[in-house]
Amino acid sequence: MTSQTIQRRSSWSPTERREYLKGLVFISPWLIGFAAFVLYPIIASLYYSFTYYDLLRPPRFIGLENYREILFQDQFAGKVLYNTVYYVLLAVPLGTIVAFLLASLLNTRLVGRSFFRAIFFVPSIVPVVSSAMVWLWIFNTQYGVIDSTLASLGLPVIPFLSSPEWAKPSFIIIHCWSSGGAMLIFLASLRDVPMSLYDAAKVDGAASWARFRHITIPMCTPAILFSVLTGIIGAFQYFAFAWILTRGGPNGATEFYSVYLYRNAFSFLKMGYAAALAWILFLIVMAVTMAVFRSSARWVYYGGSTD
Amino acid sequence: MNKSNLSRREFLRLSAAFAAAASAAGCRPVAPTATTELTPIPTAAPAEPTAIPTAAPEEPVDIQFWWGWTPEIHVNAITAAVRKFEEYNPSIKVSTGQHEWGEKLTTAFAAGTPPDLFILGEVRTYASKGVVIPLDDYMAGSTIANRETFLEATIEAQTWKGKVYGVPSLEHGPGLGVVFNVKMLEERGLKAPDDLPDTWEKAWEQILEYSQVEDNGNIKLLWFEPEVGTWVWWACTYDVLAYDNEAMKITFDDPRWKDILDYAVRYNQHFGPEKVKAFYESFPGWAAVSGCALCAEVLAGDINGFWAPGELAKTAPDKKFVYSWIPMPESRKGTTIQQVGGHCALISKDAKQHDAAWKLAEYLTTEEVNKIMFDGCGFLLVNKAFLANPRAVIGPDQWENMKFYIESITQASQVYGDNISPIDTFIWDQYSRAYDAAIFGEKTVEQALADLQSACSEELAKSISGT
Repeated sequence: MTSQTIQRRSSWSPTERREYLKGLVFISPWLIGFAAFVLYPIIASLYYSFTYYDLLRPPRFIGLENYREILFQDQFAGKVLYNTVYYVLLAVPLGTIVAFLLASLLNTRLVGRSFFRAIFFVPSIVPVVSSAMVWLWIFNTQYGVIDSTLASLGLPVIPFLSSPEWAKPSFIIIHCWSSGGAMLIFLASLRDVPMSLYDAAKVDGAASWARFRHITIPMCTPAILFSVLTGIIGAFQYFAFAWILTRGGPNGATEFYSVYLYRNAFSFLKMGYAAALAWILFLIVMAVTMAVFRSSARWVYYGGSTD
Repeated sequence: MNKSNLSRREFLRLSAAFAAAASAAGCRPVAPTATTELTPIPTAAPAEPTAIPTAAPEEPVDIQFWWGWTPEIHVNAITAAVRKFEEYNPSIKVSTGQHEWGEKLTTAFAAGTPPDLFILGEVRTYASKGVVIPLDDYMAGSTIANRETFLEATIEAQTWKGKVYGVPSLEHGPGLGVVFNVKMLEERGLKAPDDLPDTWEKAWEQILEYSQVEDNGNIKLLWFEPEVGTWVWWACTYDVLAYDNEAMKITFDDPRWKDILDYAVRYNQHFGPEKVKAFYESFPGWAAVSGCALCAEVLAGDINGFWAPGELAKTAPDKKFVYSWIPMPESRKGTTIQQVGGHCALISKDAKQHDAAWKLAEYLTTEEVNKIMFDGCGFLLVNKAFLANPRAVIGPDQWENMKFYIESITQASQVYGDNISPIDTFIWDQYSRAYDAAIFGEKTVEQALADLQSACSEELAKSISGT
């Protein structure tokens, strides 16, 4: 490391100031949009979280009352958090594993590889409402394709969306089905693994499973970290499928955090309460994300140079 | 079935134009208020509808009028009524729009740009928050839409702290009746009305006797859907309230609610709650939907309102249905009841043109508009003028199917109006949770009701106080 003396300037030259202002002008559309549609709503929601606000009357400051109620009084907050954590703990790892395995399959010399790649990717770009309608049919207990097959074989039918025990696993199945986006990222990462490592391992007598475990997976850990992190953030905010398919039922089994938040905001018009729920979710997601990041030092391998 | 998982309001939002003329998407079912004395339905020939002249304001004004229905048949019918109003009042220009059942409306209120006049059922939600004006003075000065024009029960239901904030408008009619498939009755040697269930116990006996279940537990045929999830209907039959507007309190601690939920638990446990829910995943409950349970004849009967005949005429035209009184608990056996409720017109406090908005609200209660709406989309506004001559609105082709619902209003021992609280959506949600918790065995009925009472009471207090 070379030492440099950095001179701190006390003022800018007119040219530098002009260049700076020009740059600001060029990015001003984005800045204005960011300020108006991202920054302001974030700050406003923080303010509303300390108020009672039903949209029909001006917000009334109540301090930490919303937070206190969520943490110590709300009989449903614990259940929705449990539902969400359940989903995160199962959907994210399973989705990641499914995506990685599919990518590994597609990384082989397979006839029709492009076709399969497209097939596996399509679910991740199908609109949520359309695919939700299809899944409603697939999971239907009376005439859905799965239960019809089971019934014809004389097996018990599975009440996918009408049973509290099966409802959450049904959403995890849907999540695994739509792992195409993560699969593409893993595919790109797999393509980046140097062949020389595999060659060296073969020379050393490593079997295919050993190569997969000691070369493929470690070399893909940055992509796995990205997929896990984005998966966790997305899973904590899981909403669309739950709202369309079950509205949080049966018996609150699929009332995820975002569903509960939405309901408080737009059904009950408890905007302040919903804002507080949103900020608590933000803190939870932030904490989990930081924990995963911290842990990544132990299991993520970056192939570039290190300091 | 727990229809409260998909409330009527949400269904109305989702359903497109399933039915053409003479079909109706009914209003939400509601709970009891006062009784009223009525005159019998006359049998004279219908009079020709006449235009209602209204005095135009001196200067041109623009007003905004919103409603919730989005299907084309509803929009067309309401717009036709509005255009007629503009003909009579050339100086009043009406801009129309749909508020999509609340979200757009509340946003408009928050932005300070609410419509001058809007149609909604949850009058007390808006009245309790002081964002709409009382209409007593306007009604007192009106010869078209005054207090005497409406059934006392329906007007009483739109009051908040003694003042009227909404006037029944566009769709406000009888919501209680059983609907039964005639062929399915006859196949089992049953005849209407004698063999129709007049008590909940008789309904239960028929459910047990005539329902069919497959080997895997799936319901193959559900004889009768008691609709226990729709608490407002059951509240009428037990003459119990969820919300007492006089005392401004929640009353789920009334012991009659336990009887209601006990029935729900018994019904669901017999088939299995997941099987009942699965049945309604497969066959929608609403008669306006093609392939509904009644249309597919996997359900012989259920509880429905005045909208059902028109809806079934479109979705099951080859099937014949009979309509009769809703079952009652044993303690009220022999009592016949009807409930008249639905939507009302409200005027925003921040509206710039209160007088012009009232002129439109007044016009929307006339027989002329009632005819336009019924012919256009099957909506009915039941007031005394309508009851004096219902055939002026309902044509001879539709009368036979509508007869029970219209005549029941004057023939019932007791007629109820709306009982909407300031936290109506919250109550529906909490009841749905209590219902599910009880039928799935997560809570006892007593615990579910206690939690329901506690949650709703707390929320009501916060809503009224604004904190």
